Amino acid sequence: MTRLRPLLLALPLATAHAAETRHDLLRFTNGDQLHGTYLGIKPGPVMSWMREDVGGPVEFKTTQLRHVVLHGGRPDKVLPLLSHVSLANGDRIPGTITGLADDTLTLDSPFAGSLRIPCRQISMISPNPLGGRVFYHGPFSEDEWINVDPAHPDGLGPAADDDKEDAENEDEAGRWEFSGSSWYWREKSGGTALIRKDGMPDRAMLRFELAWKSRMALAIGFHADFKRPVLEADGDEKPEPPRFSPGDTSALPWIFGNAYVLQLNSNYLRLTRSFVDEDGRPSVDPNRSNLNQLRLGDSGKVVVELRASRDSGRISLFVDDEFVAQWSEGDEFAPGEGKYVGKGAGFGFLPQMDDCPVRISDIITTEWNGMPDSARSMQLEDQDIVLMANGTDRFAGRVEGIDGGLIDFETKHGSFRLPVEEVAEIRLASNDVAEPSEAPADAVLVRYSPIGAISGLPVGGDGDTLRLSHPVAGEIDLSLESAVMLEFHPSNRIIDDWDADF
Amino acid sequence: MRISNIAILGILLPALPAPADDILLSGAGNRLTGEVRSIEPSGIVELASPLTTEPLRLTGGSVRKVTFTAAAPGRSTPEGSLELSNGDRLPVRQVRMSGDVLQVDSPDLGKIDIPRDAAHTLQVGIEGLNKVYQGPKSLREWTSGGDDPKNWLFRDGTLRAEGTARASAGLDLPRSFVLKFTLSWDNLPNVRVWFADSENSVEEARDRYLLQFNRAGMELKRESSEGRHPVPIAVLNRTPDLYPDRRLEVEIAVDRNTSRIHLFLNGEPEGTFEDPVTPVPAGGVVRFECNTSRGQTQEIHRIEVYQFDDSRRRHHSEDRGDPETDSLISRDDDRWGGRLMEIASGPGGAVFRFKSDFQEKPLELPEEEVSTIFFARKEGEKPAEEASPFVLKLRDNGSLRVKSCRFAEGRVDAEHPLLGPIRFAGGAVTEMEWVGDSERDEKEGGSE
Repeated sequence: MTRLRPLLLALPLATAHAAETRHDLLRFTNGDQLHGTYLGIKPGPVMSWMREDVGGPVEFKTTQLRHVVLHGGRPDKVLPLLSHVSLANGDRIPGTITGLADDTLTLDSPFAGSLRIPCRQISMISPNPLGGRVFYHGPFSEDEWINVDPAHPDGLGPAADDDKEDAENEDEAGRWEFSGSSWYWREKSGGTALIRKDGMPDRAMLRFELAWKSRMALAIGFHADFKRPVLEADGDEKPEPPRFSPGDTSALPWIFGNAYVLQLNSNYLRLTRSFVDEDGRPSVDPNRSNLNQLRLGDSGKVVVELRASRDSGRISLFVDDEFVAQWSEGDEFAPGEGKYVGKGAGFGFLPQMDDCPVRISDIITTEWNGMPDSARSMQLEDQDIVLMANGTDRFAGRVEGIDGGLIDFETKHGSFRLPVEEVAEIRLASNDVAEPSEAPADAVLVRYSPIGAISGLPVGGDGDTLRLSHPVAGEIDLSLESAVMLEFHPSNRIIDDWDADF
Repeated sequence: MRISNIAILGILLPALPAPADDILLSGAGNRLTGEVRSIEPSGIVELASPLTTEPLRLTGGSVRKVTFTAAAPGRSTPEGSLELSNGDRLPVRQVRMSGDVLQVDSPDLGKIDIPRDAAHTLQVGIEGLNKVYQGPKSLREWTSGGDDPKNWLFRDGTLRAEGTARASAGLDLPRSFVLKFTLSWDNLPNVRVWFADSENSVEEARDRYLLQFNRAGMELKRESSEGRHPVPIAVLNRTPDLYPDRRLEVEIAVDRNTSRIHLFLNGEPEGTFEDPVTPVPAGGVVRFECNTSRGQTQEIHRIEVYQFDDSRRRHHSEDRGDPETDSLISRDDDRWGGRLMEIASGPGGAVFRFKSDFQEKPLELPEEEVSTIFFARKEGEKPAEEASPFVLKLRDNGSLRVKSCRFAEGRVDAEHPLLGPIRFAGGAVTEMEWVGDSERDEKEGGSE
């Protein structure tokens, strides 16, 4: 298997921003928002902000702030690596792993210098994570996402005019709304999908955080080609696409074309095939509908991970890193020639019920290295697990040390010396990982692109740097040139207090 | 040997020297009983039958399938499976490897040497399907727990329900098991099957699984001792009209260690499902309930239970990874890439010496710790092409494609594209099937 190729080949190029034209966005807890320029944080803590139409910097108490989106969601400089360590408190600190000795790991971070982290605070070491090239990570901007419905397959067009009468806007289709680093659905009626036309290679992993209030009814289309069904003319009249009620599976081909669609509900899930044949006739295949037990409850937040391979026909679903279901499509004896119906590289989300607000965030698509579920989702209590970057090899044992680019790994079958560059992930024994502590009320979470989330108490800093008091690494100076967001009052609670009216 | 329907006109067959069994021929309903004497590389099949004066020589493609009934005397259970680079599968008792040669002891072929380059996958240890039960053996076996035998008939290994009928048996299901059975019906099915049940009474709320199949489709549920409503695990839109021959083979593999259930219908995988309730049902009883309308029947037969080890199936289906590297997967799920150096004899069985890419000294794993070996493909080598039109089926899921074979004195001699000349022990071959180019053969057509 080939090693992980340099990240820069797969990521969209970051647009260089001239320093004098930086556009940041500030959102408040009461829903207000301001465009301007982030100037830094002072003791208080208070945040300084500059707007052209205000004479001087404005200071805001951080207790009233929700988040700051930096550089319009596109950083000055994308981090040149995916290597990171994941901490017990949920932080992901990017950097090159340089050593491990005396129960302390050293990490060379591109934005914070050299860091020393106690191993007990580390849940995972990821020199080459995610199984392959990153094709998409976001959302940090609305770019390349489209709101579509059967009547508007190319997009809904500009949003409704606020000046118009409500009656004129009544027939407008609902829209997904982008805010911060998330997409929100808060419309009364379902039926509008949020799609991306690319991002899924032949062997793909799609991972995202899903939060919902009240009931869950969300369809996730993947490996979609968005082929449009042919409209049948009725006499001389211009053909109109059919109207569908939310939840009508007949709508799926009109949204996704040839695709697989995973329908998630509060208590069950279903995988459906969506077809548009050569003559443009749409259909869904109920014969592949499997209802599986799923217990998501009426509100909450989960991490959904879908793995799908056009070659082998295997589709697997994980929720919060636990295996949920697996399907076999296609013909393993005739790769590429089987029954796999997902013909495209796109994916999307479609609410399938009225009044089912959801939030989608932290979306990432990568090449899937084929790692089977038995290893990938396994975390042992008393052993570390190494997953190699070739996507197949894996061992259980103990990390004894890291030095000179080699990991000393002890197993019952002997000692191994594993090159760091050939290791995808090391999942540390859960018994050895400390319990996460609650983040303090005044904490801030700094998000980096493409990967990284570091939390701590802000001590100070200007528009380009931030000094944080980190609960594990101590006081650290962070460069913000690769940061995309500052989140204030990050929460570890299952139910986030996300404001539907943001 | 009595000859069943002969639908080929103008054929006279000589006396049979020894019995074979069903021989299916091309064309609907064509069938003979006789003895296949030989199959030539050209595809011509020589068939001996008492109805002809001379053996019948059928051109390639005429004979579709031959089922042999002669049992292999005293055949021991193989302890592994070797898959060849052309997809053929050979059950094996013992494998050793020295240099580039595998020395294989096969219950069907005896001791043979196989070039390493011809090997694709080796799976070691007792085949994941160790049979625990086969039946039904009698009606009493299935109604001794208190079920009313009324409305049941038992004949030829089949439980036949004429009306509403219940039957159950304690089968001592292993921790992880496969339950297989065949359902057939003459109008509409209406069957409920409980498994991993703990009692023979249906009234009490208990931890157990339920599979039901009726005109609405098929549903898998989890019943709980906590008295809640049964929790749906899977609902499948598999309605009876999808099975026009009114017969369904059901296979349910339950891994109670991981709370997963794999369902197969007519050999096709339907999905893997997770039991959402903990703890898993611990019982060993299987129970059938047929709700049959008056005048109609439903039948249950070929009930089999196997001890199920999912790891071999999972390991076999893993991505092979780098085709130029061997891989070794252990029973506890570790996997190494590198090179298999040797399979040697040790005090307790075979010892696998494997040089990992990340270790200086080779690993030495005893046989009981090894699950699966993926052999590297020789650099530049393409997978073997299928050139052999006959598939010989062996017991324990063995299957070999041959170019030609001759049947004589209870033996089968054949020419294999990778193994060369091979000889099967008496009774080893259970079926022979033609998988050649039927279009070409129809052009050549007819029989001699």
